[in-house]
Order: sequence, then C-alpha cells, then structure tokens
Amino acid sequence: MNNSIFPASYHDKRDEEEAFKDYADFRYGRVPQDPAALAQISELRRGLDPILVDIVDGGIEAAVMEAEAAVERTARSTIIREQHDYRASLNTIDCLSVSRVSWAATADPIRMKYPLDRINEGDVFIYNDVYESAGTIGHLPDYCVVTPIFWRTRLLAFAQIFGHVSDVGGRQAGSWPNTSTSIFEEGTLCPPVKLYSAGTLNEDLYDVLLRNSRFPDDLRGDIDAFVGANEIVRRRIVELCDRFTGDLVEAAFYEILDRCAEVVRDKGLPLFPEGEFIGEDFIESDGLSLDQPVKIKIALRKYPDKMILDFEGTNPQTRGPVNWPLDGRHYSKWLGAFFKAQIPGIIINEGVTQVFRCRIPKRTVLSSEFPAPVVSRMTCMLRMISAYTVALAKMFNGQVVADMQNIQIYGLYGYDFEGNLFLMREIFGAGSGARPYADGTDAVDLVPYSKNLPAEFVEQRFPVTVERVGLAIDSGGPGKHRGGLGYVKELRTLVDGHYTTVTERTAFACVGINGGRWGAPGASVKNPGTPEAENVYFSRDAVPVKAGDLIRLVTPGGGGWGDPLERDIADVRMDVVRRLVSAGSAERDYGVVIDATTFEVNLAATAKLRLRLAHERGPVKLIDRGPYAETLIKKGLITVADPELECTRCADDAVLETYWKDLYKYTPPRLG
Amino acid sequence: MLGSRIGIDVGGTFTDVIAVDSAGRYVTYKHTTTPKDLAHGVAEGIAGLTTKLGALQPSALLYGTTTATNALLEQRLPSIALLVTAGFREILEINGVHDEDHHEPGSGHAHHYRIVPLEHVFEVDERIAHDGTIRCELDPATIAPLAAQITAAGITVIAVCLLHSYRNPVHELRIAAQLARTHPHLQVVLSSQVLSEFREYERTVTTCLNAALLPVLQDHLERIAKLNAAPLYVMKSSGGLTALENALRTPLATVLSGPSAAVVGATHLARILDIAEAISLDIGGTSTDVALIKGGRYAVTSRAEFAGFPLKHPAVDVLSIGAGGGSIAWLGADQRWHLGPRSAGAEPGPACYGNGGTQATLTDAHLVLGRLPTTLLGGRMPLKPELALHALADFGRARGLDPIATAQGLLRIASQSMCGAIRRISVQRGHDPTSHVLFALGGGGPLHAAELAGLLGIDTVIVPPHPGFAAAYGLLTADLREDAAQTYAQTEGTLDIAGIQAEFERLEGRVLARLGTPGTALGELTLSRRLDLRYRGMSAEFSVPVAAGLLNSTTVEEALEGFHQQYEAFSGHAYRGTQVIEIVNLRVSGQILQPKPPPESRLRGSGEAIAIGRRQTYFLDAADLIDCAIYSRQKLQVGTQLEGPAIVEQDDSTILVPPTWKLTVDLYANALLKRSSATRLA
Repeated sequence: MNNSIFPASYHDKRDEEEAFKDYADFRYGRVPQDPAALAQISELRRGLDPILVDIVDGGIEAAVMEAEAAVERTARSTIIREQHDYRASLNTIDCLSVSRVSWAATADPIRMKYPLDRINEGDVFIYNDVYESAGTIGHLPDYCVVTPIFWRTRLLAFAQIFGHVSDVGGRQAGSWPNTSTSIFEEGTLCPPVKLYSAGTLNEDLYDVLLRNSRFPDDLRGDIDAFVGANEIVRRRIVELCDRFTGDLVEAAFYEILDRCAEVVRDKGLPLFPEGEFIGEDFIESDGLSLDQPVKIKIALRKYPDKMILDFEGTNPQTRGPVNWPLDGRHYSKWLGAFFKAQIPGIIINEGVTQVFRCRIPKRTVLSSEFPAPVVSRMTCMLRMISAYTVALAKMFNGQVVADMQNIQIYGLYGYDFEGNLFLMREIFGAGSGARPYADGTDAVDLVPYSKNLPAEFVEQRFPVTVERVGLAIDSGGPGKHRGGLGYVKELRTLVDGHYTTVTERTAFACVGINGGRWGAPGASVKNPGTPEAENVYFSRDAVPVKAGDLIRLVTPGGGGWGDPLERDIADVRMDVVRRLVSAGSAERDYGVVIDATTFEVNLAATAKLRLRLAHERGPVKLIDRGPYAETLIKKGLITVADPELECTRCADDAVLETYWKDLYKYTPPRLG
Repeated sequence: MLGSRIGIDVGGTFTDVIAVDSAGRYVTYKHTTTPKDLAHGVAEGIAGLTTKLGALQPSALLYGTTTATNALLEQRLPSIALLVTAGFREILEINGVHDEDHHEPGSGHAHHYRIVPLEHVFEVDERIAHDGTIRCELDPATIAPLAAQITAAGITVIAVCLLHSYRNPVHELRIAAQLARTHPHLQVVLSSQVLSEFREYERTVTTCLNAALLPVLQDHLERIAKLNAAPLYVMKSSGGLTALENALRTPLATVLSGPSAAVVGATHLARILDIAEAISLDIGGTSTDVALIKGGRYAVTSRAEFAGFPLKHPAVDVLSIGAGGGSIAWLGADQRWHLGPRSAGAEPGPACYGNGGTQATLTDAHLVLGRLPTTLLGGRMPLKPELALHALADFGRARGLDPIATAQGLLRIASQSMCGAIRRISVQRGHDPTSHVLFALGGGGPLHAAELAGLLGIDTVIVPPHPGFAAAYGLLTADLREDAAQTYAQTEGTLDIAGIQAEFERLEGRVLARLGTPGTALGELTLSRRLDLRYRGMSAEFSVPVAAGLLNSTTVEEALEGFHQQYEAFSGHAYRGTQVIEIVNLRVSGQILQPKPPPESRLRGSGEAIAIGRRQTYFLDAADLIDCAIYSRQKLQVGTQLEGPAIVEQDDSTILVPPTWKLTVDLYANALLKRSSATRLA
C-alpha cells in the first residue's frame, strides 16, 4: 500500500462524526424534519411509477428554466442580465434542493425563523442577510426571494430565486468594497422577512430597501422580477400536483434526490482512486494586506463509499472581505456540481451530499463569523475550484483540465455629463484551462450564457468610448494543449472618475498541469504605451482616472496542459497566423521557429530547438504555478505540498519588485 | 390563374408539392428529398404533379426551403472575409460565448464553430461615434491592400460591420462603393443594410451569416428558378413570401421557411373557420413545432435563435423542440428517460423501417401500440413491427419493462415534452390553452393531437385534409411581406416625434420599394409600425404597435401605454409614472395580400362511415389496449361522424380518435375532433 496516499489522517478521519465534531459544519442547525411525513413519503415511493418521476423531474427543470428566462427579460442589473448571476430553484418542505443546485441559496433561513403555522399561502419572503441565511446568500448584493408552494392548503415546497442586484447601499457605489472590515460597510442587511403577507405587499418594507440603494429603480425592477419568477415556478408545481396529486409529486421529489445520490455513488465514485490527495491554492490577498496571500487547502479523501473534502489548513478568517461563512452542507452541494465532469448529463441536486461532503474547520476564511466582511467571497469559490483541480491532478496523474479564473470584475464610476452618478460595471470572462484532449476556450465566463456588454450600448449609456475588445496574445498557458486566452478591453473615460477591480490571478497565475505551463496573469493598465503607463495589480476600490485616460483591462489566460514541446507544429503555426501566440513565444515556449511575417516554419531549426529546450528544462512539472507563487514559496512566505524540487524552479525576486512596487498607492491603510 | 400557383416545400425527408386544379380540387405529390441535388427532387415533384394534372403553366412557384437551415445546422458555409472597425478584430471570438461545459473537466466542446476564422478578419482604421459623428475618417487607401489579401485567399464574399454603422453607414457605403469599382467580382454585404440595429456582436454575426449563405442560396435558388418560367417566390421565416432578388439580400431570413409556412397555413384555416384562438401543432420526423394563432394572426418575433446563433430577422414565433417520430429514446446520466433531440432521420430511420436502425424511436412505440398501420404512404412503405419490438425490448430491459410498457412510457414522455412546448407558448405567455383549438399538422400531429388536447384541457382538434402537406399548403395561403427596422434611441420626456415620423417614413419607403419588385402580382397593401420599448435599465425590449399616419403626442402616448400593459402582462408589474421608457428600435412591416386558395370541398355523403378493419390500440394513460375500428380518410365524406375509439388512416398521416372523442367531417373536409364534455383524460 502506498503510504503517501494513505497517511494516518486518511484512516483517522474516516469516522466523520468523531473526526469533525469540532468543525463548523451544520453550525446553523438543520430544518426539523417530520418523521411521520417522511415515513409516509417512503411508503408512497414504493409503488412510484418511474415515468411519473421522470415527468415531475422534467416539469421542475422546465419550470426553473421558464422562471429564469422571465428574469432575464425583465431584470435591470447587468450582472443578472448579461452575466447571468442569478438562479431559480425548488426546495422540499425540509429545504433540500430538488432542482439542479442553485449555487447555494435555499429556503432554510425561512424555515429556521418562521414556524410552519406562520408560513401562509400568498406569502413571499425576502432576504440578503449573509449571517442570517447560513451564508447561503454569500454577500449583500444577492437578494433572495422565497415563495412557499401550497397545494390544497398543504405546504409542499418552496420556490426560491436569488440574483446579484446593482446596489444595496454601503460604502461604495455598486456595494462591492474590497477593503471593508465589517459587513456593515457592504450595504443594507435585510434578514428573512415577509415582502408579501398573504398576497399583500408590505410597501413600507419596500420603501426602506429601495431608499438604501443608489439605484432604486433598478432594485425595484429586479426584486419584482424575482417575485414574478417564483410565481411561475409555483404555478407549474401546482399544475403537476393537480395532475398527479401533491402526495405523489412530493414523493417524486425525494426519489429525484435519491436518484442523484445513487448515480454519484454508482457511477461517479468508482471513477476516483482511493486515497488522500492534497490541493492548495491562494487568494491573492484579503484586500487590505496585499502582500499576504490567503491559503485554501483541501485534503481530498476518497473512501469506497464516500468522498470527503477536509479543509483543515485553510487560512483563518480575514480582516478584509474575502470570507465566506457557509457551512459544510452547502459547500458540498456547490462543489458537488463538479461531478458533472465525471458524469456528463447528470443533474446534481442536494442528493449529492449523501456521498460527497465538505468539512470546514471553525473560524476559517470559509467559516467566518458575524460581522466579518464577506463581499468578495467569490474569490473563495474560485480558489476552492483551483485547489480541487490541483488535488485531482495528483489523484489522476495529470489527466484533468488545467486551472482557470473565469470571473474578473471591473467597474468605472463617477458623474456623467448631466451630473448623475454612474457605475459601469462588467464581469469579464477569461481563458479556460486546457483540456487533456483540447485547448482551453478563449475569453469565456464561468457562468454559462454570459454575454459581454455591447460597445454600442456602453457608449450610448456611459461617458466612455470602447477602443478595443479582443484577446490577450500569449496569455494562454503554453502546453501540448494551450490554455484559453484572456480578454482585453480598452476603455477611454471621457470624465474624471475612479475605477474599481475585483480580480484574482493578477500576480498568481492559472496553474498549468502535466507539463503545461501557467497562464499569464491579467491586470489593468492605465494609459498603456505612454510614459505615464501604470500597471495595477490586486483588487482595488478606487484607482483615480482623468478625462481622456485609457484603461486597459486584461484577464488571465488559462493554464496549459501537457508538454508544449509536444504541441503539433501546425497548431503552433496557426496560433501565430491568428495572432493568438507571438512568433517569440512560439520559439521560446513551444520550440517552433517561425517567420513572423511569412509564417514559414523552419522544421530543421525547430527539431533542434525542441531537443535543446527539453534538455535544459529537465522533466516536466505536474503542477506549474508560475513565478509569483514559486518566489513566495522559495522565500518561505507560503507553503504547498507540491513536489518540492518542482515548485521553485522559476522563483525570481524581481517578480516581487514588479508586483509589490507602490503596493498601497490605491489601497489606503485601514485600522481594524 | 389561382389554380396555377404551385406550393413546393423541401423538407428533410420529403419534397411536397401542392396545387389546386381548375375545379378547386387539391392535388398533392410527395417525392423523396434528394439531398445531393435538391433541385432534382423539386423537378421530380413538379413532374409528379404534371402526371396528375396534365401540363402545367403555373403563374408562380412558391417555395419553402431548408437550404439555409441545413447549411447552418451542418456548419457547411463557404469562406468569407470580415471587415471590422480597428480594435474589434476578435469580435466573433469573445462575445456571447455559449461554452456551457468549459469549466467541467472532461466535457465541453473542443472547438466552437467560427463563421469567420481570425485569419479572414481584417481591421479598418475608422471610427464613428454613437451619435453618428465621425471620430476618425476612413482612409480609402487602406482598403486596396485588404482587398488584395482577400482576393489572394480566394475569397469572393466580404461582410462589413463597422461600429455604430446603424447610426451612420457612411463608411460602410464608402467601402462598398470603392470595392465595386476596384473589385467588381466581389460580393459585399453591409451590416447597415442587413440589420440597421445596435449591438455589434449580433449585427456582425447576422451580417456574416447572410454573407456566407449568399453564394449557397444564390446557387440553389437559381437552379430552382430555372425549372420553370414562372416567377419564384421564397418563404421567409417571417411567414411572408419574397421575390427571389429580395431573398438574396438577406438569405438568413429564409432559415425557418418550412415551419413558418405551416403556421401561415394553419392561420389561414383559422380565419376561414372563424376561430379566434388556435395553436398549431406540427409534428414531423425530428421536431415538434408549435405556434399560437390569435384573432387570425400569428406572432412574429425578432428575438429568435437558431443553431446557437441570434436570429435578428423577423421570424414567426414558432417554438421547436427536438421530439418527432424519429426521435431516439435514451437513458440519461440523471437516470431519466429522454426522447430526442437526436433523430434517426430518414436514414436509417426508426427501427421499424428496417433500414438498419436499432435504437427505439417514437415511431416504433406508435407501431407496437397499434397506433400506426403496418404500411405508410398508402402502402408504398411497409413497416416491420418485430424490429420495433426488439428495439423497445432492448431499451426497456434496464428498468425491467416489457416492450409494450416501454412503448407506453416513451409515449408518455413524448406527450409530456410536447405538452410542455404548448404550455411554453400559451400558459407561460398568459394565454389559457383551454380556450384554443388545436390544429394537428405534419405526419405526426394527428397521432398525438387529441391526447395532448386532453392533457391541456383543450376540447377541439382540427385535422386539415392534407396534414402531411401543411407547409406546402401554407405557401399557397401566404402574402408578400417585407420588413425594415432601425435603431433610433430616444427617451420618454425628450421624444423627437417629428424625427421618429421621418424615420418611419424612410423605413416605409424601403419596404415599398422591395414589395414593388417588377412582376409582383399586386394586391391590397398594408403597412404597420412598431416601437421596441423598455424601461431605462432593462436590456431586452418589448415590441408594441403604433398607429399609422402622422404621429402626434397622443398616438405616442398610446404606444407607451401599450408597453406598460404588455410588460404588466408578462411580469405582473408595471411602472406607470415612476420609471422612464426608452425607445430603442423602430420597425415597419409591409404586406401585399395575395389571393387565397379555395377551401377543399367534397360531396356530402350519407354520414355513415364504414370501417376497413380493426386493431388493438393503446391510448395515452389508458389501462389497456382497446379494440378499435379503422377507417380510410379518403372515404369519409362531409358530414360523416365517428365515435372514438377509432383510427383514421390516410396516405400522409394517421388520425387517432381516443375514447370520449368524436370525429366529424366539416364542410371543408377538415376532420373536426370534439371531446364530449366533462370527460378528461389523465
């Protein structure tokens, strides 16, 4: 038996109840279940027609899609509309997500606060309070609306939808300060309350919520859209009940949950080799201490009957707002969605938690406590994926998709020519990681169906011009399969103002896998190509700009996969022809000697160069984190469990000078 | 004159030809589609009709085509070049990427299809601001070297899409004029002429697709035009016919030709029968297409999508789902049974065709459940029930189900998704299906219609005389139609009404010029105007009608109120007086009404129908197979009545009359299916 993958912790932590009793999991408690009702449901499930279950399952999926389409048509927030940061879902009466997982949001906060006899037909609940919602709403700009579904006076389920609205007040326009030290700086908190009570709108509550937003018309449009969407889901579920009876439909919900668990157990789990595999990654900073990365660490333990992700070794909760106060159950649902990779076509719902569980120690950045700031908790999500990628790379000997960072947010704000406050904010995609069988995708968002804001819309609406929209040449991590390219957008502001960034991978790079190299980090540049040119790294609240300044925004390239010296020469040539890779990089990274104007490849020189580069380089790395990470590792500022010799090969002190020069120029020091 | 118009619809499996003879009788002919040379199948179809009717001297060929449809679906487009504003070279690479699975290791597309690869995209130094002013003049000297590069690459079609050209097309026009002088053999397609609307990604994609389809459609339509001396009119997605030269202006506008024609035909029937609310249900081999018909009209949208591309040209609001007779059953990773969208098509076809298909399809389920005869096409096409049983047995085994139970399950799943499609166009948009009549079209429509009606609470189903020729028939009933649109940004409170009026008049001029193509048979002309409106902060628009004639503040106010109402119907809320409305686009649509074919008439018979056989048949959600009488449609006469359960067979379809339903043949030879009151399936 290989001890390195079966360390003592693998055996010691198999009994979860004992091993994780001091962890933060389920610290918010569980919605009480009614044993008699559950017993009746399991009785009904015995004779359940599988085709009826198919029909209920399909009906739920169609209802959720219909609701989301309605939101998209009427919502105001660009983050909801263009970037699709919203999700509808259906919960059982005990708050299990029976539709495909809706990130994390659930109806739990309603059940935890309101006894069943205070939940009535016609009620609509609303909240954005992170700590009153078990962190299932991750930050205040996400408003969540929950509508109970009754069939013939019996409460059967909850329709739930959340979306990222434009502004909920707080310190910063757009309610996304990178330097908050308490949730109270991040906007207005709305605990779970009734927006409608038995069909009657609570106008006074609405007035309070809207008064606390810089863009009240947008907020009203968005929340109304959520209420309407839940109503669609409610009607569809009632129609199913009219046809099959509420009892059978409810029994089908639990059957659907178990189906998911069964598929993951029978088809998913056997694909994972047993053992313990460590993955780590780093949030660049908490927004305040810019030279101090925040570590996310997971031990991925695969047993025959379950998979446990233990986050021991993850950084304690931070002073700045990168915390995410979720609990293990919801993390499991969220990360469990990645099982789709192993089982294409499966719909992952809460059933996945029966066999796949995240375990989170107390007071880490993943289990922060009130009133720790949280608005950038997205970075935790993304770095969890990266840490998981690294662990999987070890588990599967490199046969996994390389790392990526497909959400970067930039905003420009100020006063337009009419003197009105404006906020032009956009979420950009980036290069996706190269795949063991194909290149990564260029400039793609993490969230499916995202779109960019049209330049022709932006120029009509905001005092800016869009000078360039394109791909960042040479940003894709070199590899046998190349990482996807990052995105470049150049904006010229026509007024004085500030820009804000919520970015990752501006210094750290997307990790290359199995010989693939890291992808180029992205950052913003003020007035590129001029003597005043200035690179801006890390997340920033307020970088000042003057009318006429050009802002170049660049997002990171995805990690490469496999040895770049093995990349097909014709593919390298085509990348040069298409200006995705420069002739210089073709030579340096891929060992392909190509004429930059005629695009002719010198085959003899290429063969020679590839031999020489392979020799100089030595064996390829399984995990290639790039110069910033390696320099920090070499200096002992961060630690990783990667193979030791591999992880400091391109360390270089000059890198730190680049990134740490004028580090606090745009981030004022803040007292705790 | 009228009788000599011929409707020709080329579908994936069959080429359908229809005409009305001098006695007012409909003559139809079905020929297998000939994918290698579609014109051949059309020629054979016309020849087939000639043998039935004698020598033809048609006044017009009315043509529904899948040429553009298939070229897009199969991503088989010729190389073109694209000229863009400097700085936007990678516009097709990054906007609106739909790569859903990219972040899930192990899945995802290796490459997504590019209409124009980067090596064929060229940047032009120029810039027009959003208000139409010129920020950077176009230097004509920069065009010549680009043209040289493009020609050297062997490319003959160029798409040009410059930023804000919808506001000021001067630079696009200049490029076109220069290329016409220096490279007269090049075909140049300008975004400002194809789609004068803002949003550069959608406009660029639309321009490129039109440019790439141009040589494809030109070649094809010219072959068809040569088949006969009569002028050729092509069906567009909008439900209107257009002259050949107009079709080539925007070839992409023909992409939903067939499905739209069927809806147009059903709409005509609804008018004849004076039916206020109807749903057309067109079930073919690979898809089910449904559309809503209100007050004798179908809806037209400019928000359609096709094969992952935005479709900005007006299109009949048809919802298409991948469930048809050839749809293949499969077990998803979610442990659910699914049907389609993959279809066995015509080759190999369902297992029961005996052409090598082994996977269970919906048609196989129908056959083993006794819902289909054992031969199709009036005996020309024998089916093999044993192969269907075998395929169904294979599929059902994992759930321990026998072939009959498996077939019943597949029928329920198909019914569920077809019902879902009808709900999406009705209930979801605030229309109650129970007040609608269901038109059963396509080979499969009459097989499902009554049962779906039962599930939806619909009481009346109408099966026209030739349901399998629904699209070809629709062509005979269509009018000439042209559309024009223009982005014209305005905000409530500071509206330039005179400016809007002038823009509308300009668009009307353009529409009239196209409708007035020489050779057009003149009929009554109608022009209509619409405004695309939204509340400030929204991105999607709602399209509302505006009164014709000289605009004034009252007519504009009426349009704005129309928007509040439409928004309220959609979302349950409106913001009268509290939020500002923006005008985004102006739209004009012009139609020249065409003469309509007469309704089919047959002699009134005795009312007695005589069964030609009996069969054990399964009806949806029934406990068991039911012994069922079979009739021949040809032998049913006006006034004939049948009680369900019954099956009516005809060459192009099979009608299922479930228990509790009654069939009557109406004056126009339509089969009218009525459900006895107070009984509902399911």
